[in-house]
Amino acid sequence: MSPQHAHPLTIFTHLWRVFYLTIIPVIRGFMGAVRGDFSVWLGGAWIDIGILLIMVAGAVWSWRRVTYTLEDEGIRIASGLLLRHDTRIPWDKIVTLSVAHPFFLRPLRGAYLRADTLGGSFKDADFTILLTHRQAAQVWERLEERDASVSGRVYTPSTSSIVALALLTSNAFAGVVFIATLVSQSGKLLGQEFSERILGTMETLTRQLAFGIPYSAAMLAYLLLFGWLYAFVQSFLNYKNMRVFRRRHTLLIRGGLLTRREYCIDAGDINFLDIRQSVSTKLLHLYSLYISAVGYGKQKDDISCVIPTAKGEVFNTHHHQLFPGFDASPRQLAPKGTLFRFIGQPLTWCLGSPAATVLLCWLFPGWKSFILFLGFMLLVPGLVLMVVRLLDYTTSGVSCDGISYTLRYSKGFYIHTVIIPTDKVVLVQLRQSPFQRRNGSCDLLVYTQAEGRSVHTCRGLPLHELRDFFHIHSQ
Amino acid sequence: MIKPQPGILTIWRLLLVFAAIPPSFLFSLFLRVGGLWWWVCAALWTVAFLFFYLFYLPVRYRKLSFTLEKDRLTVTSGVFQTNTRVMPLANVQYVGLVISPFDAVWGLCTLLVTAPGGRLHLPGLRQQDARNLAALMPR
Repeated sequence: MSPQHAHPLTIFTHLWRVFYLTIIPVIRGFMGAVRGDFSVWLGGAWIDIGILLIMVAGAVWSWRRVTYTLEDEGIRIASGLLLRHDTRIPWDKIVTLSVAHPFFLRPLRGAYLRADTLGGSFKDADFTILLTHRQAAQVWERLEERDASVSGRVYTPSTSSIVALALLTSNAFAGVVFIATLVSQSGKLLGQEFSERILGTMETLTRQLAFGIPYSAAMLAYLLLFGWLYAFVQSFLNYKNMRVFRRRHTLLIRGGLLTRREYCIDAGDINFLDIRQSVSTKLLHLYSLYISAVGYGKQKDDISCVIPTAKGEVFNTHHHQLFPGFDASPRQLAPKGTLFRFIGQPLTWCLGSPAATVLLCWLFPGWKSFILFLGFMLLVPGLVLMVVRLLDYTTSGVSCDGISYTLRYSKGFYIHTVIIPTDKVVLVQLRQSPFQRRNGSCDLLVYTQAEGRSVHTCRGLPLHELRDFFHIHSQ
Repeated sequence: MIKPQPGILTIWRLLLVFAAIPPSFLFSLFLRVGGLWWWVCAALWTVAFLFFYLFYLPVRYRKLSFTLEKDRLTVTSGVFQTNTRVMPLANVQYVGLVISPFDAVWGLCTLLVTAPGGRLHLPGLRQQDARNLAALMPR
């Protein structure tokens, strides 16, 4: 196959990086022309227009220099104006290939193709290129040829399952950041008066709907609520129309309403499975399944969950269909007499938060009502964390069935059951503090294969038994 | 089991002396020499220096050890918190030697063993021992 060029839209991405440099002198030139003589404009602005033309020419030349070639062994990417880069990535080294069809590119038939291998940056994909739909489909077909098995298993989550996932996992703070950015940027684009009008409307509505809560606390609460609402809608749109196909060696995942995303993952390169529960899903007996593979779930809007919330039996059925041989084994080692290791942090939080509230009320009596509200709000996550840690104490542990390790632990507000193939474990660490020396316990840290750092921590396990479990001899 | 060379303790102590110079200089620069606060900072700095020189670094050296078995490398380290790190050799991607100027004087180095997602540091090895150890690891 001869070298192919990227989508012509790439010219605008190259141009956009430097276009802002010319917008100001061009506008100034036009303003000068409006106020003054035409010859004045001609005399001053031709340099600006010349620079603009040079930048457009540079962007076009840059686009011409970016090519890709589909070869039998892999894909070859060439780029760079003065400093040429020529990279060849073998097909069997690509762990995750993803194609994203953003809604704003669909009329122009554009799609982002990303590929990731074990090497390269852990923040970004190893290469990202903007292609036409047809070009992206060609690359996709070439990668699918690796696994020519016709039959496969298909899993389609229900809409209620996706709604439940979005309801329970949406992050309010991400939405708050978005709203704050939207208001401030709208001021820059449409004038300060516009953003002040938005803020004024928010203030008026908040005062009317405060229901006896202090105004500043109500503003904070509504901000978090709208932030959560934005995150919920975004999460729902990302997972809608999701389908998961399992073939012999590959996992294909598709989903998204406005922006369609497709992923092709080498099943042998999945580092671990993560069955995740929060306090609410634990009480409702719902489970969510995530996978870890290089390049998958890296981008902010990626579909990181493979099985959104599902009840026990249904979840187990789909789990076995999609990942045969990846089963959680029963607990073999559990924490013994190490309850304080689990509840120490939330206990400090639950006792410290009211104490800090009382102290701040004494120091700033004028802010008493707001501080009391804030103190109460901060106590709630501490209590939730206490519940999570208590559940963790009763379920935490480690086991091995010869093929994979199963680690049960909590991280943040989630309880994880992680299934790791033994060959994906790169480092095992037993960490014992002076307090743990008294009762012979330690923390187990298991590092799994990843581009960056991927660690799983089980608290308060018996040291001596762990050494026997991992065949670590005393020194 | 492999113990690091005693020279690494001397190197750590020398680095401690160099690290202690800036605070003592800054105290004397910004505080009145002989004044109350100068004495307080001097006492704190001296206690910290003696703590690291007489207790922390010797305990760190004493607890540091490495074991290379057929299929794994084990590193035990830590002062207050004891850490035992085990890396299966099958996952080792590459091995490197790091030689600082102080290491060069004593003929020592630090061996870095890197796997995708984890890394082990083995300080205080003789350079030839480190190269022999690196050669024993599968690639």
